[in-house]
Amino acid sequence: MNMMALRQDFGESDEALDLNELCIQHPTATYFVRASGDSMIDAGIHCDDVLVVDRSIVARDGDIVVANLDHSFTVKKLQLSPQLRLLPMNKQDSDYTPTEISEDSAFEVFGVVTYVVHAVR
Amino acid sequence: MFCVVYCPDFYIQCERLFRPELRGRGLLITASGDIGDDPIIASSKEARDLGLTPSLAGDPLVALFSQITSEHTVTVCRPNYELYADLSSRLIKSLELLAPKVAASASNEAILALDGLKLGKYNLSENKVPESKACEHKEPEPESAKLNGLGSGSPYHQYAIHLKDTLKQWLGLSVFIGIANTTTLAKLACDVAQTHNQYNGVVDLSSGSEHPMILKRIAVEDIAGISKKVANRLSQINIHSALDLSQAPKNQVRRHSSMITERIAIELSGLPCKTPEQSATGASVITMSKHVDAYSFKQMKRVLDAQVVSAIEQLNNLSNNCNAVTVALTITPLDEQKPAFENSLSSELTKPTDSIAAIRKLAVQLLESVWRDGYQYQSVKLNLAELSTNDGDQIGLFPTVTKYAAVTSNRDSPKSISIETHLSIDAANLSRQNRSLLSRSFTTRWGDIARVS
Repeated sequence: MNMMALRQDFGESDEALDLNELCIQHPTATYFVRASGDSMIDAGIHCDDVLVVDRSIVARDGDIVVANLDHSFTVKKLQLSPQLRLLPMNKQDSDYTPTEISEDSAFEVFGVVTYVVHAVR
Repeated sequence: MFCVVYCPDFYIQCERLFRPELRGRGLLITASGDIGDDPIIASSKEARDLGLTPSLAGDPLVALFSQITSEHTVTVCRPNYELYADLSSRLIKSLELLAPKVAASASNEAILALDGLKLGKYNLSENKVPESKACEHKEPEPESAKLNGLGSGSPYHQYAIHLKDTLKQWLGLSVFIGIANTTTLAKLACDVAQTHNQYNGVVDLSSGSEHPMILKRIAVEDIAGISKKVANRLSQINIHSALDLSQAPKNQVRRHSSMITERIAIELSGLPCKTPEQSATGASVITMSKHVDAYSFKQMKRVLDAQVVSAIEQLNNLSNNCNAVTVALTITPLDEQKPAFENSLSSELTKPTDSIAAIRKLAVQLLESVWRDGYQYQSVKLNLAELSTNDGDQIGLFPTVTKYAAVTSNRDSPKSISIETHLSIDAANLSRQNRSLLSRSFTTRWGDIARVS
């Protein structure tokens, strides 16, 4: 049996698996950013990892979000209740403390992090 | 039914999306990222409020700028067309997911045909709105939706609000939206949405009953497609406002101006006769024409420079390269009885490009050749022709196999070579100029994506 016949037998789909398809549900609303620091290490986000950020998702309590706080970008876990806070996720380092979002701080969720691309070597 | 979506201050909004520190303060975009001879390509509202409008150039601009910056922070940066092009294509692609038919009319504007739109979920009132038959040339059916204000509460109005909110959420871009029976009316509705804050960015004329009130306030020369010259001619037959034009006998309009104006008049009265594609005019040639009263070469060069910038903007909107440039000057005759005469010269670029440096250089060379001292010139025309597409692709997370193959098989074709050389020239230009003036290509280069900590 040659490859041609094999292909016909198993359908015409000769496309290789596409990671875009897996990681990006809303291409027009998805942006990539790169992580700095280790404040989110317990969420599996290491320094220099690429984060897939989907803006079309409305952020819920507990989502990991890229937020725009006082004119700079940060990645943290979003806490909506009992009060609005951004939580770091690093148990090892007690220097990282939750950030309270006060009424007068410029705060906006840029998008929800849906995937982390991490190089292991 | 048609819908016009317009994204104001597009370049400014794009710059601010990934550079939040630029929000709420003065921002100017000039070709060199410096204040001087370059015309202003875009300015933020904060900058315009301080008097830094795009019409300013040269010494007055430099003087005003240094005076203002002693008290206010105004950032100047170079245009990042790569970023704008990506967001523009995201804008159109998003609209394609949200509307049945989309035609892009500019990088920051689109016309949507809403036939076949499922309005059910936007219908807040009990009345079912009949599906419009906007493309057919006949009386529009009266809509039965109850309205107050400018169509607020109608399903189309609800749909427009949904559209506006979705674009804000997905892309971070604010837009204005106009809805009406015809593309011309929808465009006017969009203009009204932009100039009158009370409508919250959405004006819906779908009911038809609001037209007279709105049209009365719009001067004919403010209608897209009607020049000052045509407006003057129309004023001779007592047509001053858009309402006058919509009510005037159509054959009289045609006699006094042209079929194009007649078509606009028909559209204003609520009868569609242009498809979105016609309204969005897909150009194969980009023409910039400006009336001037210039005696000096320097003056003329400045006008031409501004034309090059806006022509390249259009070129970028179309994601096109251009291969030929024409510069034409019209000389005012000394004897007024004689007709004005035009002197023009064309030349080809060494390779198809959308590089501002290359096109500007050639345009100025052509101007130098057609220019004769001692004449008074009344207009200058810039033509970019032989447009071809440049297939700039947005980066994917991982290049797919087919894509990769396409890239490699293209390697030997002249086109990809020209793109490469073009890039290396740009890179050379960049290293000479101050890099910090150019925002990074946040969405199209892996090395440039935003950092979050």
